[in-house]
Amino acid sequence: MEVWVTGLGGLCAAGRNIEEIWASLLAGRRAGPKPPARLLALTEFRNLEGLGHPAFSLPDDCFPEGFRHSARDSLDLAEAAGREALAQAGIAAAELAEGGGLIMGGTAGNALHFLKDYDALRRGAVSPGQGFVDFFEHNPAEGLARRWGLRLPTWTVGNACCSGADAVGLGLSLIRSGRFKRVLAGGADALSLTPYVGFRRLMIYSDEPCRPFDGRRQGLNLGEGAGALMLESADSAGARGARPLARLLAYAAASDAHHLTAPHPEARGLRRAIAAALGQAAVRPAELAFVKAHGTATRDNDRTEALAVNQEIPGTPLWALKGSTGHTLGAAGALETALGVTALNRGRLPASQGFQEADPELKLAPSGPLESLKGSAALCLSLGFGGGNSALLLGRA
Amino acid sequence: MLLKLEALGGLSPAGTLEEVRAGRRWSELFNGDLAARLCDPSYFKELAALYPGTQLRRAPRLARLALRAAAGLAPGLVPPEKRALVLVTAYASVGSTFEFLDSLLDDGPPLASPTAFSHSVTNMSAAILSQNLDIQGLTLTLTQNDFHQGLEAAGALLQGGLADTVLLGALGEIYGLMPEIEKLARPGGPPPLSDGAIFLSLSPGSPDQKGPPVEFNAPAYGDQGPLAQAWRLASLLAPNPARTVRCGPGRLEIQTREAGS
Repeated sequence: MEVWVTGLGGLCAAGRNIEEIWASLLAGRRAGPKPPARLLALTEFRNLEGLGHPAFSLPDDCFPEGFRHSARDSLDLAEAAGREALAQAGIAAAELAEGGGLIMGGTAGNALHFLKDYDALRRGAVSPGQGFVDFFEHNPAEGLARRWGLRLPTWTVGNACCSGADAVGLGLSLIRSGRFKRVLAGGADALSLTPYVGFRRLMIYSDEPCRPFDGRRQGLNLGEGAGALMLESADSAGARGARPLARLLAYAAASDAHHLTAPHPEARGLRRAIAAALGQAAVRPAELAFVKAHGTATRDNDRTEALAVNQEIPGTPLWALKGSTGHTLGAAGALETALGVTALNRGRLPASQGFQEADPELKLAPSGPLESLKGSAALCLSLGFGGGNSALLLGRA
Repeated sequence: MLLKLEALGGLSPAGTLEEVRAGRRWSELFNGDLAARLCDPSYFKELAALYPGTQLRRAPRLARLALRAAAGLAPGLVPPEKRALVLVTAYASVGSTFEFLDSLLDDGPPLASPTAFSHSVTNMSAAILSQNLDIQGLTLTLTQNDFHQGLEAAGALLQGGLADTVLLGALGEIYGLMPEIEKLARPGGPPPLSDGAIFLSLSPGSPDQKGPPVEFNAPAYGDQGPLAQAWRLASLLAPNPARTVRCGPGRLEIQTREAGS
């Protein structure tokens, strides 16, 4: 069954919607990451040692009711991206409930990260902290359905940094099962102190703006944002006169079953995911216009991706986005796939910000900018803690 | 969509699935008596004999619950890359997350525990299961209250050929201040069953082997959390030798292994 992408939405430090982000990427602008003052202002740590490293933050007014440092922030971002995707598709939110589903991926936004209220409770507070209430009421997918007054099946994907990509992949699977004619799928994550400190303590957070695939890369910078794709069966979309931005040809996911926080050294799962996605759609590597890498700029991630790309799809132009967006965690897979659709649709590939100097060990480097694209398909990769590897294959409309 | 139940496994405050079934203790699971009770930690002693030991030493409690419940459910005849895992959990690893928050508050950002952080990531139980059961296909963790959508996801993966078998589970743990947080923030009270794990090993069904139908009204238990919903489904699947359980509202059907035989 053919599945179309009929609407896109997204926001991140590079822009407040897909058009703004795209313009920023084409212009080669890089919103210089800096210590997230908004996040740090909410902490009560006297000792900020170990904090203050750069992150790609959104402007405050992207949080309509004010940044709360709670699950509600991620839901605000999910709603903004979701509304944009629905608008472009020409679908009212209420129409989603007619044979549709809603899937949102996340990490911090659907985890127990209510630090301030937890601290208060530990000290004997007896009133329900707003952070607790926000957690229960703002599960990304369930909360979005509630905000829009919809009664429909919802899924919140908690697959670490693959969450957004797996949300889109699950959407494809559900539509192809014949049980759903359309699915709004995406991911969202606002900055949270928990991963901000956690990644630092895992020694994979860079003190300087991140450099995906660069020889001097030191690690990732967190970002925040959301991405959403309106997916529809071609029959359903065609019947209402919609036109595709791209076709979603295949989704494959493979677990390394190897290590909790490091990818398989031989890229076992990622290589299998790439091969399976291409195989499902009978697309040859030579037909790929580009591969959108996960590209976190950690030593391990980029080495693993380089190995997989060199072995499975050698010579394919490589695009890495996190030098412009930061690592938006649960949003990344959906946001970057939405931008992959945009690149394929418009036939151009912006430069990969942050990359300057090739790493001889990797034996590949990001391409671009490219003013024209040769292939008819594009591959979007995501990797995540827990050994997750996901590949989404896009086809030109 | 018709699914076939290959095997079931579980661990609850009333014991393992086999013990619950043998003692006909299903009602204890659902009448609220066990809501605040933990699974007996003595079951964890058996883990060393059940698994090769990968990561067991560091596995957090939630993952240990999952490992004990899923023991023996590895589909040996299915290639690892055609095995998938779908886990539904309301809060993921409460213990590891609170341990990280505690370390952050007590020790400050420079000394916060990296181990607790990595174990707090929502899909860590799935990752540990995938390592120990050699599941190399998709592992999907859903963090939500509705178990039924996990069933939908498993069905879609099987129907689409992305997996030949799916281990579908629900998982939860009672830890630290979480019960208090639930009481403060959710006036309706906590789910009736919050500690333990239950797994269904599923494969594509065979229309010619459908047994007598039994209805499972998933939405009726929608506010009880995924673990309680999954145990209720298991209570329909486990005791009867031949039946097909219809799961509303999407009309998914699960046939027991013996159905039609």
